[in-house]
Amino acid sequence: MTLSAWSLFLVWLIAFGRSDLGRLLHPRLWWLVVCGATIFLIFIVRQAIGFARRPTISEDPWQWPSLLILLLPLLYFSQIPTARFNNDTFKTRNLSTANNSFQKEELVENPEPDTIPTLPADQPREVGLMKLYTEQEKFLGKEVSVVCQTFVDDRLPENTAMCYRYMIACCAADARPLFIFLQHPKNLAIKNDKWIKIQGKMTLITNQELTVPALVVEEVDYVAEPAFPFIY
Amino acid sequence: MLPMFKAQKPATPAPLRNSLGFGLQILFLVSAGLFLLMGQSPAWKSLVDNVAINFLAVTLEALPFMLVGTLAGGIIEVFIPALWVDRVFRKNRTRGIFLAGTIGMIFPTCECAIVPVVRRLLGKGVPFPAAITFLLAGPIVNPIVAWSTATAYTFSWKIVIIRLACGYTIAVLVGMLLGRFFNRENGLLPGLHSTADDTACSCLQQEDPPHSLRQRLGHALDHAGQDFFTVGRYLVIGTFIAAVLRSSVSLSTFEGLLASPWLAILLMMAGAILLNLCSEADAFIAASFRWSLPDSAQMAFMVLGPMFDIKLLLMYLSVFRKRVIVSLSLCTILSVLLLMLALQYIFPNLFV
Repeated sequence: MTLSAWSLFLVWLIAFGRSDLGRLLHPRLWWLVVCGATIFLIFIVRQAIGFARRPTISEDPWQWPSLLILLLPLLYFSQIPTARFNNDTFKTRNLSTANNSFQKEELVENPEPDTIPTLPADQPREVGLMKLYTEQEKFLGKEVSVVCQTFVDDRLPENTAMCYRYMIACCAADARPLFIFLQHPKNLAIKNDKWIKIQGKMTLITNQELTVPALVVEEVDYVAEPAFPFIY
Repeated sequence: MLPMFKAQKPATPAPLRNSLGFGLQILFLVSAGLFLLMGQSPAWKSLVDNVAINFLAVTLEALPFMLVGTLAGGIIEVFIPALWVDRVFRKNRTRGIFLAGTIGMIFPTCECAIVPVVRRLLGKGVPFPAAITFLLAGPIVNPIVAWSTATAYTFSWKIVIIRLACGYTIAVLVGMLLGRFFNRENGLLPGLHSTADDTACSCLQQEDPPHSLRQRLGHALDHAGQDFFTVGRYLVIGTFIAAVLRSSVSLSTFEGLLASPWLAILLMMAGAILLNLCSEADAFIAASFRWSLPDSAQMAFMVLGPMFDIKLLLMYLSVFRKRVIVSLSLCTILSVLLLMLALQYIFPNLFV
């Protein structure tokens, strides 16, 4: 029964539950789920062959808690469709600098050097958060659009919020947030713990030794959570 | 004829170990079930959600590797002859220990798969010290971990070499040390004491032993299935505990308590034990501390994690006696601590 439950669950997950699987495991590791389902099916076939030849059922009363323990993850999966990493997770997994990026110190916006040429107005292009870090010079001063999750906190300076997405290497357990700052006008309140699509001009903010990309927000749209919310 | 009273032979009470284990498993099930129910209330939903995500994520990643490990163990049980084990490992024990530390470079084995594999190797007659060395070195001294470490540290191969060298050194030292005090008789659970003499698998002593390749593969699958049920529950329990800790302990706690390099090393070692990350991902977590913690502390996290964490600790219960588990845990932790302190204070330029 345990083997059947696990094999059915893994087959269902890979066939119909990819939206949930995408919030648990890096896509490059989805082959593990297929591999696990295959091995469980092999075990079932072997047990069926063995039972057909020698139909004996050995009942060990000491064994049933172990079988239930093996089924515990399937029980906890009932929580997954509505479970999400939220602001509490962000606080738990965020690595602040030694000076604590949450402190209300003045965040210094890097002044634009005179040498940056005036570029023609482009349509804001949607870029990933990772690219704002790795290709800062390319997007500095340009209009960009980003989809991310908001973090609003009293410890941040006025009219400043954070926007983040989780980056994973293998699975959700190693997810760590990658964030940018949002500088918004006073009359544009940003809601906490929501998925947004923001358009704005990219700049850089320095907090002591840490330089973080920031967007001067021009437009905010509240959007649905992406199918794959993590950055890989 | 008068009926005679016949004294009934008293039923043999179940061993205390069985009763305790049964009770603890029931306790765990009840606790986990209650915790899940608590997630229905708004006050607890966020925490239970986090635990569920971490629990399922690690289980989905670890379980297939463990299943592959059980398959490897089953194949070892049926196909590897004891004579080969005798020739490679028993004839020269010291050479066997050094060799065991390098097996991972040819047969990479993650920490979730290592326990069922070692379990079968011990049953095959691999000497205790060599098995311990492979248990510790297998998940860290392998090309997959080397590659993930290189990627996390932007191809700083010095870090990779130091990580693998530290893992190998500690595995060999702990294997040698434990080998002086423990052996198969006093170190392993009773069912793992005996080894087959010249037969590849004890199933060859049955009435109808398997001879064809198909039959032997079938028996290998039987052994693999048994290992799944034996080791799997410890994996689930360990993963659940790790998920609760992962959801409760903040990473900034480690920064906040930082006062000196030795404390950073200790805290990162505690983090490695509690966070239960796979040896592929732990390098990325360690690298995220690159600018705030000393290199030795990051290395402590990367070296200890694949060798010892809560999940592994519980899986050891399916192989070793408790005194061995305690000794193995203490030796591993102390070895990592001393080596990292040496790297920090005696060889600080090694990372430069």
